[in-house]
Amino acid sequence: MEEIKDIKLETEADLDLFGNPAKIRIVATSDKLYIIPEKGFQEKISFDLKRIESFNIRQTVGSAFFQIKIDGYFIDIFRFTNSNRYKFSRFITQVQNLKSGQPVSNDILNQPHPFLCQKCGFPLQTEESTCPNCLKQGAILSRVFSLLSEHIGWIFIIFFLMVIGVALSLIPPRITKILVDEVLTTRKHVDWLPYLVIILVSAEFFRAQINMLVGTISTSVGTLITNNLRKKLFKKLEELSLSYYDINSVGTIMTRFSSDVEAFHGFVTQAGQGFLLNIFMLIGIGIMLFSINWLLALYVMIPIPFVVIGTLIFWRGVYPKYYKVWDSQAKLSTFLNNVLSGIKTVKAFSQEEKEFNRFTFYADKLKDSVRTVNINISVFNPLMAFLFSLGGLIIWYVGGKNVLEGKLTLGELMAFLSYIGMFYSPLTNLTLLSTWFSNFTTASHRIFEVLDTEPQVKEPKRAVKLMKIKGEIEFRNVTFGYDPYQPVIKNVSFKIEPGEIVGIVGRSGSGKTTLVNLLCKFYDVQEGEILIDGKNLKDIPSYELRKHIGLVLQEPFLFRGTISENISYGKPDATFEEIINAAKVANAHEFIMKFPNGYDTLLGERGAGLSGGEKQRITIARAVLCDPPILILDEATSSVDTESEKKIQDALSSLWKGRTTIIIAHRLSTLKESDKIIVIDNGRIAEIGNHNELMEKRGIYYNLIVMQTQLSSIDGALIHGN
Amino acid sequence: MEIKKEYLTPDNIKILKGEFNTINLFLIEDGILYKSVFAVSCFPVTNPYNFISIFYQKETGEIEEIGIIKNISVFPEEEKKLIIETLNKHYFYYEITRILDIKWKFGFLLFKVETDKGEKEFYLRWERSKAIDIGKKGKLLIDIFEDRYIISDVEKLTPVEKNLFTKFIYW
Repeated sequence: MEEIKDIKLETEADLDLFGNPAKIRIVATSDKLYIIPEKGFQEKISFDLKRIESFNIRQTVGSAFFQIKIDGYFIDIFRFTNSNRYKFSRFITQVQNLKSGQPVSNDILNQPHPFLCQKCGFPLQTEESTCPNCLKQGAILSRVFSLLSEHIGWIFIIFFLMVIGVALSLIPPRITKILVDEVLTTRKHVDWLPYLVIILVSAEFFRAQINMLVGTISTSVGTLITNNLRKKLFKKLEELSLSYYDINSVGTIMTRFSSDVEAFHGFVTQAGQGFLLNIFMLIGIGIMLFSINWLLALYVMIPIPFVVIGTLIFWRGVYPKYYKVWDSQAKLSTFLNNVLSGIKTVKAFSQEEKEFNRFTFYADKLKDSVRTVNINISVFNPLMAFLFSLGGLIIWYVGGKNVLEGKLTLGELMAFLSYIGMFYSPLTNLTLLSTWFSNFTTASHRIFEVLDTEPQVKEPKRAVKLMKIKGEIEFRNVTFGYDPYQPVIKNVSFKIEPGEIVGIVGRSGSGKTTLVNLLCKFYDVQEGEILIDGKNLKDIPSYELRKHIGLVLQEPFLFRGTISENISYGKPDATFEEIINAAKVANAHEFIMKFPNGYDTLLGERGAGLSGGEKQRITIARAVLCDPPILILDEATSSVDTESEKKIQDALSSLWKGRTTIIIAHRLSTLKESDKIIVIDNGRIAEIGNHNELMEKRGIYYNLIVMQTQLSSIDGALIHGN
Repeated sequence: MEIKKEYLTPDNIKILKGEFNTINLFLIEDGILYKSVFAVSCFPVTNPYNFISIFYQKETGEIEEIGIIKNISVFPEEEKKLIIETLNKHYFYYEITRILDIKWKFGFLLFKVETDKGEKEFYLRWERSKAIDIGKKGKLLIDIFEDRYIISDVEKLTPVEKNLFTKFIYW
């Protein structure tokens, strides 16, 4: 094998071109790219870098091909699994640099994956997440206790009351012993009877009082802590960038709020009323049993291994079955939600029978899973009861013999039996401690993970304040991809002067909305920079920037609340006059006044009760009210009928006067009057100019216009034909 | 240049072997040769070897469909082999033959498995969207890097493996 000299880049691919596990050495020198298979069915090959026109990664299902373009055609030269995507996304940049004579770094190829913990290799939720594996249990507990520390006074009170409560619970069996031995059998102190009963009643009474107090205080403290936690979580979720929501579904986040926070709440209340109480009870009863008769106390211990092992086996087996129940319930409710919201479609296509069969399938699954769990519980509970009674029966036999032999008094036996009645139940609860504790730490991990996540869009350390802006926008060599391996925007540069109306045109998926997302700083650019009035977006805090941008989206989103609340969403202190003016500009006033409650009309979820066009006009009024120097209309009229579109267009044309306006529209006729039209194709700027210039160019824009004109003439012919 | 969208048959196309393990497609009627084409199945789960879409890559790197092969069996053996070869290249997954262990840790499942390509260990985010049904009995597992693992028939796992698997992937 010839020795390769002057190696600039060297790495390895893990598949051959046919998808077999392989070891393919990839070497790049100043003038050549070598593909050297050391294992796998692929030939050794090399290419002159000069001959290669460009490089590309073609993503397929489960793997990707590294391609080079030669003589106008892309050819696959090696292949790798998705776990190597990060490495080869870096390799492509380096090899491009090498080809263009720029400096390269081989070390960059060996950097660990950013989504894996640098210390232990455990996967992270996001690049910035803390590693749950490296976060010690002790660290979690100390964080939990730090949350509890605000209420430390109350926690001590609970602790103190609990000790008293346990002590009070231990009194009745002791009194029973005295009652039996001193009053009922020997009749030595018959006059003690009423006093002993009073002591018994008092002990029970105070125990009940203390239990009430402990319950009330721990519930209050628990709800207070979880309420604070929910607020912290919500605040954090508002801070997080949109990229967080791209990875985590709304359902997953809702789980953080519901079950995870509830598990946390469970810890606080359980720690007070369950875990600690059970420990105190076990210790207290143990002391009592051994103090009465240590030998008999040892007999009490006989069923303990059976209780502990039985409980552990049961829960390990049954707990996963609970998941099936929850899953079946979730599937059934999702199915019902789906079918009932689309019942019109079901009926229109006469699919009632099919949907009934699907319902039966989900309902049967739920029935089976619930049945399995309940049968398991029905078997487990009597078995445990038998084990508990076994302890009692042993004491009856051994203790009974001791009483008959005079080694034990009847009162002591009665007290003993009372104590063991209270002994096994806390033991069962403590056996489940590890399951309960692991659920709690998992829930805490998930909560802390959200709280510790850093927003992808970094807020500047030294923020630039934007008092009043002119509205000049500049994109300089911007590259961005939601998946960093696959850029959606590729090296885009353009400038918009203050007050200009600019249309952005392109096929769906070409990257138009991504440009807007970057301008609004919903995501940070990966390469290049965006400037507003000459200031880099990275130096402007998001909240500061968005005060100057009015955004009208394709899908109008209205919150549950009144029309006036929705209009004044971005400016809660708006006067009634301002709200009405904004609605008038947006051509919304007329239809709002048709409602009996006018601007005070309460809207349902997502604006239920309004047509698409009406919702859109309210969102426009919302944008108008903020009077932003930069206005962005992202397909604002594409989901409404022609009549509504006309009204919205009228509203918009009065709105964009004197503001920098960016319009993304698929109906190109709306862009004719724009100062500038930017045509985006496959993430790059393909054309730029005004309508007339682009028409003369006869490029993509021209073709799109011709296509839309043809479509409208077909529509026209159809209408006239009718 | 207008691309024909009708079904591709031996009457209107010829599949040829190209340079560097590539496959070319020759449109007979138009006399156009598409170099370095590749195939994608329209129904990769339910009908993987029929309704095969053939794509070519433009000079810009964009891909565009040339047409669809409705029935692969009508093609000459040599061409059929080339189509299947390029089709198979589009999909890469590990077929799990044995589950050795599954461990849960902080919302992830660590799988230790034997696959048709050797022993593998991978982390799966414990979410419904990462373990999805494939066919009536199979499951597709998508790990944290988007590498894919298939269990073609969950029922065929041994009782111990099935118990372990359904303990976590219970949906």
